[in-house]
Amino acid sequence: MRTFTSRPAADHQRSAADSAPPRSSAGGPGLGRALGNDAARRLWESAAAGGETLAGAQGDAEGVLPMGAEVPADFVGPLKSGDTRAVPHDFAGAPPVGAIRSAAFIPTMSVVTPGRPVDDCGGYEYKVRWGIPASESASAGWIVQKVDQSFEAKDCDERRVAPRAFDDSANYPYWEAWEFTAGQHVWVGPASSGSAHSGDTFSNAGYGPGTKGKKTMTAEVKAIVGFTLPVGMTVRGAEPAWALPYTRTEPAQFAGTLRGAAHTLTAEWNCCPSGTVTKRTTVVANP
Amino acid sequence: MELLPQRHRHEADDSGGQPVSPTDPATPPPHYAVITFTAGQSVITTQGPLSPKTFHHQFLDRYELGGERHHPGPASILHGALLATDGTTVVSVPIVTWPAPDGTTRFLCQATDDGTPPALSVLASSESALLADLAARLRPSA
Repeated sequence: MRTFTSRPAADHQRSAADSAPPRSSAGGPGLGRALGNDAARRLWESAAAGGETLAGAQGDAEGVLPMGAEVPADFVGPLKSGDTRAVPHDFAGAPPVGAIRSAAFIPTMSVVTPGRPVDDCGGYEYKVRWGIPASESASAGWIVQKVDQSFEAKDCDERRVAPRAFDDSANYPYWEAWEFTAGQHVWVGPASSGSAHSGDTFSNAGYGPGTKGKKTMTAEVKAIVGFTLPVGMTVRGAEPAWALPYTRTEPAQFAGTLRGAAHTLTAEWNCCPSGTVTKRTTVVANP
Repeated sequence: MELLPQRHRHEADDSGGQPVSPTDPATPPPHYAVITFTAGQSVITTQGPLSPKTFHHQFLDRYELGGERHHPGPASILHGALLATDGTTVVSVPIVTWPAPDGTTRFLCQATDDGTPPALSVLASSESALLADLAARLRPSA
């Protein structure tokens, strides 16, 4: 059984990590462990396939060494084959013996618009801004966020309400990214846009009277030094990521690096019986 | 004298389930025009038809946001506007420019970044690229 312990972190990182859900302490449903196993498999497949992740690729291709995921340097327990102990890129000092310095670190997260309802029946908005800590002011790369969600809504007769595209689990997870350049500059999408980052927004309109339900957005964000956009991760100028490079395929550099910080929102409402508001939209966000 | 009737946004779509004739002057089909503001005068640089579906999606419907849209900064300059109409409602979307880090100019056609319509958002590295992208985004089959 594997356990996680708290890891050393710079102040800015601790503040972001503190807002993440507690890590599993007994090898339970810890995201880090699950990510590690999945990532190791995907990276193996990716390497075997020559770069792009291909479902069904075999891991025993000749001459391909198994690749794994990074786990926190203070991870307690044996590592799986291919896993590597690592410290965040902004770790102060030399990595402990047996650990490497990851390309990933946690960006600072400032709440611009606290999670709040915009209507009685499921509408919400929430905005946070990423930042690069001073210790990484010379670094360049991308802030990458994995976005996932769950959604359930019913009418007052307990019949399922069809989700809009933004609430349809078939459209998740996805990955989106903001480039950062030396000098702590963060951009909307690629730096070449010349558009300075303002904030990452989760916003949605409600479902109206006669509905009730719950929406949860679960995101994981990290900054990756030297990240390169994989083929197919492009700006679409459309929902949901708009000006950001977007992909439905997990980038290998995201899967293979230390876990990021949690960024979540839950909205619940009950506008039943129709014409009444039993429970106005409530929003809980983290951070 | 009768005052102008109050107009309703969806009035032009009420055609009894039948396609609206593009030749009916009383209910002209949706269309758009891009106007460039130049010194002393404005010029229509391109125009074209829209489908009712595209008009609603790009100009009337709210949009959902799980990432980020552009935010023109103080260095941005108003360059022109896109006007779109379905015969009842007129929507305008500003076109602004700003200098990119590489010294070239970025052209953005976008009005909001908060989920309120219009949803249309196109960023390009030249005016011709912007017009081409707009035409592709707004063509009736889109």
